[in-house]
Amino acid sequence: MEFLERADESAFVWLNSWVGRFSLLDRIVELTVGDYFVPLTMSLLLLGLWFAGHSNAQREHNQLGVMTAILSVAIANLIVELFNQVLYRPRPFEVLDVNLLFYMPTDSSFPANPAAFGFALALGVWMWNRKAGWVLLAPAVVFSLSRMYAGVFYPLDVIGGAAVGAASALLCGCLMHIFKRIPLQVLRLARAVYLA
Amino acid sequence: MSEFALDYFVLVFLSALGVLLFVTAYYRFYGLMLFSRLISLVLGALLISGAVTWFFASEYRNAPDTAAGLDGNEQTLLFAGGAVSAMIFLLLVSSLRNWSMKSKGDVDGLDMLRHSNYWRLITKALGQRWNSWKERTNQHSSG
Repeated sequence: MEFLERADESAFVWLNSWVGRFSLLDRIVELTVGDYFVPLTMSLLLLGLWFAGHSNAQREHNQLGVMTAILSVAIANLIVELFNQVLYRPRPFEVLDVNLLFYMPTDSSFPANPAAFGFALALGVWMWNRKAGWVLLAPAVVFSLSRMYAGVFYPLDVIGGAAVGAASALLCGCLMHIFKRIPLQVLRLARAVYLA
Repeated sequence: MSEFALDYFVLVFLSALGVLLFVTAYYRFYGLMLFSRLISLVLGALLISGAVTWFFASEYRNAPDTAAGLDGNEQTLLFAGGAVSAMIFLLLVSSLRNWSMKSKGDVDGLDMLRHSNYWRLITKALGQRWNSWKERTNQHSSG
């Protein structure tokens, strides 16, 4: 366990040591690390996905993916909240000398909420549409890497967050398949008003 | 509503409208299009990039939710509000813009909007439902 923590810290220090070397990269990370840019991008992609598809069947698949992603993000947030109630890991900037590119969040470092959000959303879609899922995984990875680079999360926090996101996406994907009648009923109602 | 929240709402409204313009043009939902296909695609992309550039370049936005920023719940609500507003705006304006389009075909859901006007479709569908409900209730008497 101690070895793992030391490896985690070393990986973090190495990644964070790049801050200040390339000002353009720092400027880009200041954008992608924020609470708004990546979540907005991913949410807009979900909105577009709702209407995407050349046939009714293709679109239905995408819409089931959108519903799975939304449910999966909600469950991932709930799991992170539960973790935060029982576990507190200090942020890297609380214990190390860090090059910080972001404000100082006050909640637990583990598990990383942005990674949980990004992976839950991307993998929720991936369960129904592999291509769109891969596209959404890119911003999820960028979001997670940016948070490490900017000095607010250890790599293990991000891996933990991604695992939470993946688990909730898997759970929601299974639930959507088992209780498919419910989302199909929602789609039927949306179709009645020509919105699905 | 704080100034930051209002800015975020405007960002979501404009970028969601951009996405809707782009995607409806790309998948040829002519009933929802405001311009020709090519103009809609270009305008959609411009609206998204313009709104994002305005929001992030006009001010420093990495503020914590304990200060000027928004927490997750506020962000979710503002996104939903902005996206729904953009959708309603598009439905209303495209209905006026494509007023001459009659409801054609007998397919299901969104596919009807490939060649039909939303307002005409929805009023026709609601009218049919109202009539069938009236017919059903008239079969029973109470008292």
